[in-house]
Amino acid sequence: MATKYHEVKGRYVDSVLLMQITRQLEGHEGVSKVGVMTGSKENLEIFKNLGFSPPSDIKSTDVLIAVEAESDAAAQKAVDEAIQLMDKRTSDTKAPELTLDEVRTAFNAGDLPVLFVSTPGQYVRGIATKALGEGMHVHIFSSNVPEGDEIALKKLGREKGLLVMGPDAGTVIIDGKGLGFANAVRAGKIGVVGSSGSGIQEITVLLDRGGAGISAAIGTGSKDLSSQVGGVMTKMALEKLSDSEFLMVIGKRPDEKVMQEIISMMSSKPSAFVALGDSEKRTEGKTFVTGHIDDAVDFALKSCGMKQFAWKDEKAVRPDDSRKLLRGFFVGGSLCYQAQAIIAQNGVEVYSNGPRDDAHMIPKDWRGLNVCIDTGAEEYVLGKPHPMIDPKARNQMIVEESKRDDVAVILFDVVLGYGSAQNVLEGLEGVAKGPVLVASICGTSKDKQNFDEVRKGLEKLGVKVMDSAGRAAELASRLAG
Amino acid sequence: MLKGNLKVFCVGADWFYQEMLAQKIDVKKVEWTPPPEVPEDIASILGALAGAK
Repeated sequence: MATKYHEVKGRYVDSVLLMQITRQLEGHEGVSKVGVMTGSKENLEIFKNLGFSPPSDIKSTDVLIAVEAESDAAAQKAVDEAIQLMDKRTSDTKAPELTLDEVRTAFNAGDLPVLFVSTPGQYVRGIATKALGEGMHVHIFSSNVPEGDEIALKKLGREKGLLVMGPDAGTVIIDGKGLGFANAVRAGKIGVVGSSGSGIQEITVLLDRGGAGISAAIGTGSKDLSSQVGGVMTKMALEKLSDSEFLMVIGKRPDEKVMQEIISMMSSKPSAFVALGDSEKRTEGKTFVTGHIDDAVDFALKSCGMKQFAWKDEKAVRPDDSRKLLRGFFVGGSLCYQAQAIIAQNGVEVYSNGPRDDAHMIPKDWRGLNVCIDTGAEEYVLGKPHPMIDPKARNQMIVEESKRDDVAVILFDVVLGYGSAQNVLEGLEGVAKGPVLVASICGTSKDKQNFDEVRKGLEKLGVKVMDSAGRAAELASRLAG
Repeated sequence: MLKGNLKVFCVGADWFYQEMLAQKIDVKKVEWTPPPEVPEDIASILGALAGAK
């Protein structure tokens, strides 16, 4: 085996682009390992975990190309191609139009300016503070932002009356336009706020299918409903959307006190709070509180004078008695969380890398257990694109597990929309029909991936396509055990 | 209220910038590179000086 390293000094390249180059080179003959990343501390750890020894002089402002191949020539060829691809992709993309200092000159009093940030987490505070100072709302897609930075930014945003959407906010829809991962949904009078990206996507998609539309969908970041952050941006977003006819909030494991404060704010208006994972349903004032997205959507449709869903429940037929295990592979973290709750409520013990409680954390060897895996979690995306952007690795996991003779059911989500891959079924070819395959599509007929074609593609592979992620989890839970 | 003409400025997000262009969002790409690294020994001296102010 031969290993080659190449440093590109002082060049910032978008991480998604670098990951796509990595993926492209991984498929080359004779190449066994590839890493193309900036030299940040976190990335150097990934290089080491991959078995590379990065040069000591590499800096976070540099890009490192590392290749292991069967020969010197093959490794050098891959390095050369990485350089070429990097040059080509960066010349294909438009050059920056302005600097951060010039942004203020590019919007006027009647505009709604939003700074979208997707840089490594440690740089976010400086960038976002400047934007807030200049009167812009901020959408922070980046994760790994220190908690102190998040709290300080949200305090500043609150003082200035500006939204700080994130950190780690996957989904925002304003004025019918999606920022981050979002679906093409109709405009309307329902305001959606949440700390859960794929949860917001599922809600807005189901509302759209039910004939309702949204005024806006504001992602507030995965930690906003924690006791430390105090729901500060969820509360502010609700104020901003107060002219909506109906309000919906969704969060994964919200802090009890924060949740009550928010329910108190909403309860004079028709509204729903989805506390993902909660098994109880209740009503407080005009607010319906539930753990299930489907129930909340039904309540919203009814409150808005629209017809509720006629959910179809598929009959569960097990392939044979020797197959007992359940597998769930998700690209949406909140859909994974909701599925676990539904499965557990139906009496099936399920483990996960994003579990409901510490007792259900997935162990190293999970082969003999029922599992739901969030393939967008950090341990699965180190040095790789998020599975919504590139679902191939997730889909190949489904194919691998489908070949086992003890798996009864494989559950998964397919997420369409802006930000998601064009070919969401890539890598799913060759899935075996031993276990029952159950999926839901989080998407609308207006999404770029063509909902009907995706549905047909899944059905052709023998997948039962359910009307929602919740319904899919219900069916899967009846097939396991 | 969230009123006004949506204008988005993208920092470090080529993939999403392209997705916004596809939606015909009024979006501009903002130049950004990570600030140069300060060696840890110098950073600690600067930190101590800042704390002494």
